[in-house]
Order: sequence, then C-alpha cells, then structure tokens
Amino acid sequence: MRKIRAIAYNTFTEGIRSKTLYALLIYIMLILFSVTALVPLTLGEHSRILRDFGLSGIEFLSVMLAIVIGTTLVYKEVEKRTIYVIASKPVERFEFLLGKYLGMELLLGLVIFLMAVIFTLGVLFLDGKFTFILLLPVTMIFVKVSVINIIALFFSSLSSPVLGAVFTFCFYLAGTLSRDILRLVQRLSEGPLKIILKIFYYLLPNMGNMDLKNQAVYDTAVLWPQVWWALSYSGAYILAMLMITSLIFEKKDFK
Amino acid sequence: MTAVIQIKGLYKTYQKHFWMPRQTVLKGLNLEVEAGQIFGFLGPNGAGKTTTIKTLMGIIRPSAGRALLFGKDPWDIEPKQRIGFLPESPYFYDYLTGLEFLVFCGRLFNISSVVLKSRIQELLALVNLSYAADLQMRKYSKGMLQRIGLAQALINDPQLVVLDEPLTGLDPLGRKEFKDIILNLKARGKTVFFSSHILPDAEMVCDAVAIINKGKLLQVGNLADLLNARIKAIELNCRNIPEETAGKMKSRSLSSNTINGQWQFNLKAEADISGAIDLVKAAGGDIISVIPQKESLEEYFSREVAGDA
Repeated sequence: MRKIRAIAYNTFTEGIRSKTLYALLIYIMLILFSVTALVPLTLGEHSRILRDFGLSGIEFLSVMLAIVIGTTLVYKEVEKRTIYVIASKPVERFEFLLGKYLGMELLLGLVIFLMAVIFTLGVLFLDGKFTFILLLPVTMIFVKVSVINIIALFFSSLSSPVLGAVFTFCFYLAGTLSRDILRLVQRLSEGPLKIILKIFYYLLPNMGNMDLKNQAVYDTAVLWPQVWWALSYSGAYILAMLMITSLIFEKKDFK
Repeated sequence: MTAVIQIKGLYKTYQKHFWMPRQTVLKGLNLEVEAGQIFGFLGPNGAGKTTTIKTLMGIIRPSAGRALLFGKDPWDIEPKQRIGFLPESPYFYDYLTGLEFLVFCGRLFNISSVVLKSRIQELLALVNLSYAADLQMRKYSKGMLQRIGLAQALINDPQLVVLDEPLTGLDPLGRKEFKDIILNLKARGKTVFFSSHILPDAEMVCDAVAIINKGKLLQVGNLADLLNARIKAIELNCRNIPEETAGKMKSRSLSSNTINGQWQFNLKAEADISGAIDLVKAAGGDIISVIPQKESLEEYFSREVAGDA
C-alpha cells in the first residue's frame, strides 16, 4: 500500500506543480460572468442560471482536466522513460496503475472541491442561503469524472495522448447519450446494427445515471435509488476497466 | 561463486509496426556474471546492450530464452528488492527536487522513514549532490542527473548494481568519482554490471568483460586473461650501449627509439628477451626495464568487433 501511496502522491504532486490549478481561475471567471453579466438579464431566474452555469462549469472543466492530464499519465512515463525507474523496482504493474489512478483522483477531487467552494460562495452571494443538497450533484460530477479518469488511463496505456484524448472524449459524449442509444436500439428491427449498438450501449459508461444537475437546478426531489445505482454502477465500471487496463499493461514492453 | 546474472539463449525481436518485418536484436545470448565482480558489458552502438539490460530489469520480455537475477525471473518482485538500476541518459521527474525523488524511490522499497532519511543524506554526499538536494531536477545538468540516478540506484543498498552507460555525460572528475564509487561497491561485496562505450575507463575498473556485437556474444572472460593472452611486444629499455650493439639490437626489434642516450627496443617475442639482455650486458650496457606490452581493451575490442564485421 505504501508503494501505491508513493506513486499516487507523486502523480498528485506533478498535477499540482503543473498548470492544473489554472482551471480554478477559469471557473472563477465563469462564476463572475454569470453573476455580473447574465443574472441581470434573467428576470428572476438568476439563481437557476447560476446553478446551471456553476454545475455545468464544474463538470466541463473537471472532465477536460481528466481527459487532458489522464491521457498523458502513463504515456509520459513511457515516453520520457521514467517508467524504467519504477519498472526496475519491486512494484507490480497493477500497483503502478492504481497509484497513477488514485493520484489523479486526488488531484481531480481537490480541483472539484475548490470549484465547489467557489460555487457555494456564488450561490450564497446571490441567494443569501445555501442548501447542502446542492453538493450532491457536485459529488456525482466527481463520480462521473472518476469514470472518465479510468477511461483516460486505459487509453493512456495504449495510445498517444492525442488519440487517447479523442477516444476518451468520444466515450464521454457517447456515454452522455447512452439513453438515446438505448431508445434507438429499442426502435430498430433485429439485425447487425441493432447488435452493434446494443454492444456499444453496454460498453459505454452510462453517464445519464450520474447526472443530478437538473434536480439541483429545478429544486426537484433527489431520487436516492438513482444515486445508489449510479454509485454502484460507477464503482463496478471503474474496477472492470482497471482490471482490463492492468491485464494489457502487464504484458507491455517499454521500448 | 554464485551467478547473480544468468542469461540463457536470449532472443529479442521487435516489430515497429505490424506491416514491417521483425528485427532480431538479441540472437541467442548466453552470459553469467558471478557475485562480487565488476563486470563490463561492452559493444558498439546497436549491439543489443541496452536491450539485454532492459530484459534483465523486467522492462521488456524476452522473445525466447531466459534472463535470471539471483536465479529468479526479473519480473518477480523478490529479485528486484536486491538490485539497483541506473538507466542510460536518465530523465527523472523534473518537477521533483532531488531529495523528493530519492524519498519517492525509497518508498517504492518500503524503506522506513528513519532509515531513508539517513541513507539519503549519505547518498547525496556520496554522489556530491548535497548542495542541490532541494533544487528541482528540471534545473539539473546532465552530469547531475547521472549522479542523482546513481544515488537512486543505491537507495536500497542493493547486492547487484546495474548501470547502463554510467560514465556518459560526466566530466573527467565526475568519471573518476564514479569509478571510485564502483570500486568501493566492489570492496563492500557488491556486484556491479555496467555497459560502457568508454573503454579505457572500463579497463581500469572491470574484473571481467563481455563483448557483444549484432546481438551475439563475441568474447567473455576475466579482463586480465583476455588481455594477457595477447602480448604485442616486449619493451626493453637500456643505456650506455655502443652504436654497433644498438645496430644489432635494432635488427632483433620491431621498432626502436632513443632519447638522451637511453634506448627503447620493442622485441617481437618473449623468446628474444634473454638474447637481447646478454647482448646489452656483453657490450657493457645497463638494463633499465623489461616491460611486456599488452593489448589495451580498446585495441582488443576493435579487433574482436572488426573480426565479426
């Protein structure tokens, strides 16, 4: 466990010492923009606009961070040959991957937490009150980003960062639309296209399950069974992807 | 003596892209390195030295054959507890300081914080980098990276130290310090296996060497045996001999030279020594020295590699 912790901490340190935290500046500007420029135009809907903008901003920026940093995580170690140092030490390849993943989770967790603080301050400033239930969609964003993170790690172990980023982004987009894929599958008559789309539906992460932004924006009741289902589904998806990635990584030659 | 490294019929083939033909980098390499030796692994560029080392370190898998460390597969965790490795032209995490990097490496061996702290101080002093411990490695020169690389290779007090081109990138003073560290490791009972292009330096520290070319082993053995087996000439130095004797000596020699009345004759073979000494003494001359001239490692290496071309 100490080895995994060391690798995770190293990955976290790399993220912190690079320009990752600039994402927070972008987020502050987004919140300031929505408070100062949009709110006066929204005829009493200012709170909803801020919630919508704030939560979407957290999701967009953290997904982008997961894709941009996540897809270079392993690739950079191989390309710059820092992997030689770790591979020659008593570290299992699975431990290396898990350490990288957890380090990235720590980094994304910190960035999302700081954005949530900025979001909370924005809501407090505008509404004068803050309900903690607003933090539930933020938690679900973290869960969603954790899934993106494992997909990025998978592609980082297989391909170049550019290809990995494109594939991961496609997974994210298609995962967001997975309910529509299911609807399409239900309408199609039996045939190869239906089978292919069905396979895609099961392979892609179902991001729709993890989205609670609407409940937060429109103050509707939280569907707790949906939350528990999303949590278990994401946990299982991450575990399965981690196992597939380490199976591939186990056989890999570092040239 | 026990073999710490055993390489048996090692093959490695690469295919850059699936439509390209496979390239064979190692062609049935066999090698054994005994404990307590300083072993030089020599070969021209592209000979397969780094590929062999990467196979030994569990970085790549062999296509056929076996590489063993302490009798075990290098992909196992156990033998890796006992080795230290410095890669060629090392590049480390440039956002870390030298100190942070060594702490990171130590944690990969589960070394306790107390032991790690004192060991890092010792190692930084050993590689002469104490002054740069808190400097981010992005600011390190090539020589400094080589030094911190050696320090991380020794963090677990390994029994076997594998160094890939450790002397490259170092200035003469740095090379001397590295050679002293290698000799000191041997004195402490460690085995050092290193590849090098800098043959005079390798000659100075190695007990045994292996020469590989095009993925095949050309020669392996104790350095003294390999070089003593081929004496190029016998250098006889003398003085106070008349011109006539000098003329006779010249006819027995491969070459000769005189400076300030002192003569140097390079005799062809050991059998010529006694006759030449008698001739000098009979003429009333003084013998200063008789030195067998061995082939240098560089000459030996060039001859072996050229013979394989």
